[in-house]
Amino acid sequence: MKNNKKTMIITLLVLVVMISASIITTGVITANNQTEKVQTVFYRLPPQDENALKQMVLADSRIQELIKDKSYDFSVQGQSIKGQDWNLAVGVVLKADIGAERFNKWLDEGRTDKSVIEKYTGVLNVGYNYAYDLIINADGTKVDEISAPSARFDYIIPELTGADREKAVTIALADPRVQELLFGKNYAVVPGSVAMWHSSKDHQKIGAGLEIQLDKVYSIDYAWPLAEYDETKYTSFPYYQTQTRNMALEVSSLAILIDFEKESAVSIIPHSVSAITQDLQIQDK
Amino acid sequence: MLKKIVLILSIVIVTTVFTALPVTANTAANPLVVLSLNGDQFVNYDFDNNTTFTQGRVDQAVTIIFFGNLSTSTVDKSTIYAAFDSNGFNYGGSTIHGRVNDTGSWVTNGDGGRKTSAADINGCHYRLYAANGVNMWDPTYYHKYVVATTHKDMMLGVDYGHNEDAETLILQCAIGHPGWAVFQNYAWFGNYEAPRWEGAQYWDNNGYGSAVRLP
Repeated sequence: MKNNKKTMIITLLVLVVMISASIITTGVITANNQTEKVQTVFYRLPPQDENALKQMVLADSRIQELIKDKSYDFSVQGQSIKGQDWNLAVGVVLKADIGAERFNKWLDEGRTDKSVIEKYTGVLNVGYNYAYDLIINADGTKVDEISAPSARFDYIIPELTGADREKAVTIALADPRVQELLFGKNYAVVPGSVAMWHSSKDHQKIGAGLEIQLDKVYSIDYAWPLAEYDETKYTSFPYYQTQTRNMALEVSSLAILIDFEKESAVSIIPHSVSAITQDLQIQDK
Repeated sequence: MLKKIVLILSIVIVTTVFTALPVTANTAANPLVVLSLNGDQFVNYDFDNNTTFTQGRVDQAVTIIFFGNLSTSTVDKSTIYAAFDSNGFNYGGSTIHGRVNDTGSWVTNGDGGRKTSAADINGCHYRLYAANGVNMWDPTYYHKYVVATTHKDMMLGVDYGHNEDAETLILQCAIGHPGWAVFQNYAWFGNYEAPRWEGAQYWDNNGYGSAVRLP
């Protein structure tokens, strides 16, 4: 009996020490019983200040190295496709004690009051998979530190190569149904719209998607080829089947999905102007 | 006694290793961000279930905070839903789950939201989250507030997502409500999504959240 008590006490002590050590080493945040990155919301500066801060960051040779060869520029059938595989966000963390009234005043006055700023900060995303946190000095004139790359997902999203992009646009514009739909209309491939199409379950590359913007809204009655994607219904890769749906729609653009293995457009999705916003002006995105 | 200690310790070690592994594995790779508003916190995506809150189980990105101009301002889910009814958000959606921490404890709030198309064709859909299902309280900047995810249902099973477009559409509706102030893309919410198709989900989110201030 005495031995049992001793055993229990020693085991309990060891257990407490191990759990404490586990919490300290993993930095547990209990949003969902797993560890996550905690980030204080950071706020945007007025456009001119934000642009100056971005230019300062982009002038840093370490940043330039990270985004080297991450832009693309090519033409297919007279369509110029330009874009970049990186994204830079910069801003400021505000002092916690400024209070609601001053916070609202800062928002209303265009975020120009610098006395509310606690520090400058930023994030550089490269490709689909990696992000770098930036520590910027107190007056926003120098990148003090660039973090090691952190994975943005707990798996790897396949990246789209330059050849993939060119292939996708070439296949889309050569597709007889796309040509039929575009005949007699002015159109343009939306810059930056040529994007990866991958499976959800196992993150395999299926192909690519792109969007073609029409010069105005057209009434189109068509038998639309649409890839119904359903990993429960279609249990093997690429988890979709193309069906045809007859629909007459007001169409402003076409989203096109290209299957690289089939080397064909398997989905031509009509996009319409949203009924709730057609009379409203689109703002800065 | 030594044998007993060794046996129990072995069980403890095995148990600890197995329970600790997922936590450690998710630390570096998990992109979910807990956003902090001077104390209050929320996760920057909502989830397709109410028990497993992992990166592989997200539904849509948090893109908007609705908050009050004054401590006495009325900001709650029912007020916002009622206001957007006039913009055509007249249909309920399936329940998805947000994770929020208003009072020091993490809770899940399930919400179906409101959408503009019953058939999910060319529709816009938002969901609202609050710790108690009504609203939350931030004593520093925001007073009463709720957070929202946004997406479009372009064609069921074929094309949905488009978070940024949906955010813009809802802000455009918000502008039309008397006394509401819109601050588009005012803060970094850490949920940047470069354009990509994940099955039928089209991800496209600039990572900047917006704020709508109610009078």
